[in-house]
Amino acid sequence: MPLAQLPTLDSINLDLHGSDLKSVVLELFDPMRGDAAISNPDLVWRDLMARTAQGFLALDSHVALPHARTSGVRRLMFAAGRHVKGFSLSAEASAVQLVFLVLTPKEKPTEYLHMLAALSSRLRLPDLRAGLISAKTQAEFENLLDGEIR
Amino acid sequence: MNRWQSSQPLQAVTKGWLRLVRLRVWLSEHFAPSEWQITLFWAALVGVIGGLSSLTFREALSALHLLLTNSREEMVESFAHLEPWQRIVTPTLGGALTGVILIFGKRFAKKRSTTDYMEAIALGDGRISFRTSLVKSFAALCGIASGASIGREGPMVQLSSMFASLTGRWRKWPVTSLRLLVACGAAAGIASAYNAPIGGAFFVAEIVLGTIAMESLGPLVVSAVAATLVVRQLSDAHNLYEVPHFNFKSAWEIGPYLVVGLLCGTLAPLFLQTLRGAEKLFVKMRLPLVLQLTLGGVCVGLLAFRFPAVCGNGYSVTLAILHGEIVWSTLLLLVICKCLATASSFGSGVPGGVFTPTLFMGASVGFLIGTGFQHLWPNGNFDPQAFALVGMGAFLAAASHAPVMAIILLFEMTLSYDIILPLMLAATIAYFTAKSQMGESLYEEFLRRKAEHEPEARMPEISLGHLLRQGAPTVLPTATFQEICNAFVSTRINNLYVVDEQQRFLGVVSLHDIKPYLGQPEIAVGVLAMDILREEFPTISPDAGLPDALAVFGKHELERIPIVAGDGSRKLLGSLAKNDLLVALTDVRHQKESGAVQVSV
Repeated sequence: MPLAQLPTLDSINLDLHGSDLKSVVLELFDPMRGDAAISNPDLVWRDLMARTAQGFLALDSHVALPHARTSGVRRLMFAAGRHVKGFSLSAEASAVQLVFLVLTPKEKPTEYLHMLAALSSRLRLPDLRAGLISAKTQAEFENLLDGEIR
Repeated sequence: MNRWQSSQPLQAVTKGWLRLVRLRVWLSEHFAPSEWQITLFWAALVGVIGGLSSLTFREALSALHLLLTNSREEMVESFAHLEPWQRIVTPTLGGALTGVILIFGKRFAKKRSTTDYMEAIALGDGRISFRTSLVKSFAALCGIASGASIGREGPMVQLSSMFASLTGRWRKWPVTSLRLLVACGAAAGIASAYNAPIGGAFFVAEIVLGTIAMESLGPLVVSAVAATLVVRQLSDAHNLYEVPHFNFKSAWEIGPYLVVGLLCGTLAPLFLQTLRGAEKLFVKMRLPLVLQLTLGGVCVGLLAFRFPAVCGNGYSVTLAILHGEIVWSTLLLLVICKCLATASSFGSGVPGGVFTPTLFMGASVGFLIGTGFQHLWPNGNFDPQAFALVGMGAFLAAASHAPVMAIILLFEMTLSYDIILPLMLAATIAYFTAKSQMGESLYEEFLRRKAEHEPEARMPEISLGHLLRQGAPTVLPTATFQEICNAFVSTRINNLYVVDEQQRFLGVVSLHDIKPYLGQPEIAVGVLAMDILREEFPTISPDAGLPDALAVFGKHELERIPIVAGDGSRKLLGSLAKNDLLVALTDVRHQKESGAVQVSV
């Protein structure tokens, strides 16, 4: 089966250090605020928080995929981050070390599913996941994601 | 507090649901019934019910007839074996009993409601009262079983239509589809009464619906076929009028058949006027209903005293005519007495039909004309029985103003192909002759009178509101992927409506959109309806016209569109099915042509 395509990363942060999901997502989102593809950063943030409050996807409790469908972006935006120490989503859950933030425009309802399919089909591979967690540089992280996913 | 979803048990459950949705999509792609196929399914079911109800009525009629006459024979033979005084008493008692049932039935029926299938289809909203129909059918049972000169097909069609109406109401079908389903019930009733599926379908299409567009004719045919199959399977049904073989030897023979057409076209209006005259006469007498029906029974009884053949619908006498078992002088007297007997039964208000009596009149007129030609031109090789057959079709075409139905029904009931040419010609001539004398048929007149005297029975106008189907499955924007899958599995839809707490329409989740991802259960966990919602989905207001709705269906390849309140609230009211719209547009065209109702388009 051909691998699903992923867009280029708009932001990458291998040194996330927030203690909860909100602060981690903020670390990923902040660098993208000035991007021309974001027409209304405040709206995007509000939509992101509102959507996260409804729940979000986590794969095996090690990978979190917060998402928002918002009219504040002009195209799909994609950011990735690594939390070396890991942070917990709940008391009984294991630590999340990889976070992928997806922002999709309102008028394209299927893009989110497409992204999720592309990410989950790869992140279920233990070797790739381990490689992403242990990547020493952004380029290595990106290349690994590029090579395996794209 | 944030919620996150990734637990293994949850994924396992979701995986199961996704498998079901995948199966549903596969079935949908390979075997998905369209709206039309669903309509045809229900038409077939209504046909089966119609066939069963007709058989039940027939059996009940035989049982009651046995009780009243102590005979299992046909009506005419039974009366012939009765003592002369019994021939008077039996229809008299039957008339009184019919009246009593109708009077007491009024209490049981609670309130005034539509009972006639023609009224329900052509004027009303497709609703036929269950209680009133039962009362009417039971009254008809007593009247017919005791010898009233009236057709038994009327109550059969009534019962079949009533069950169709109940089925449609149970399925919460909108008005136009409900009316179509009732029409299917009527077609099933006629088909099972006469063992004639094509004739049954065309009777309703031509006389009641006034159109033979496939949108309506298709379901009628399916229903009529289903009913006929049921009757043939469960009884010893055969073609109703077994006739001897006829030979059409020379083109010159067509001349006398023109005379049959002309005379039937002239006499059929007179026959109908006699029926109407009798009805008016009984109304003028202002008798209580029981007395009125008793008097009708007395009239039939007095005629039966001398001519037992006037009793019943005239089927066995027609058969005797077709087999040349009756002499013309007897028939001449009998046809007059039969006409009076039918006028008495019909005029006094015995519930029933005049279809079979009409066939008897036609057979008699045709036979007498044929005998006349035989005497005038002994070497002409004329066969009065063939004339009788052609006369049946011509008389029916003239009385019903439905020549196509008459030709088909006659062919179907006799299975005599040789008779087709003279039959077609005579029926057409009879139709035009009758139409020039009498602007409207018995059925048309009935509907016009209903519309005039009971304006509340008329459908005010056909709008999208009448076509609205309620109960479309909806989900909230926060619905999980599993809830969405649940909705897709449990109902046959391709677009799931998403509404907020106030039932405002927000958009749809398309099965087409989620289909490529049904093989990945891990992504389903955490996806909500709001993530995959299509907001740009066409909607329509209930105030919009039918052409507006048609335009929406023209632009988008959809089977249904949501109907939302036109006051700006976007409250979801229901959905509009393309199938319902097409049937409604066919209705509208017919109604505009006939001027039966006001239509807003």
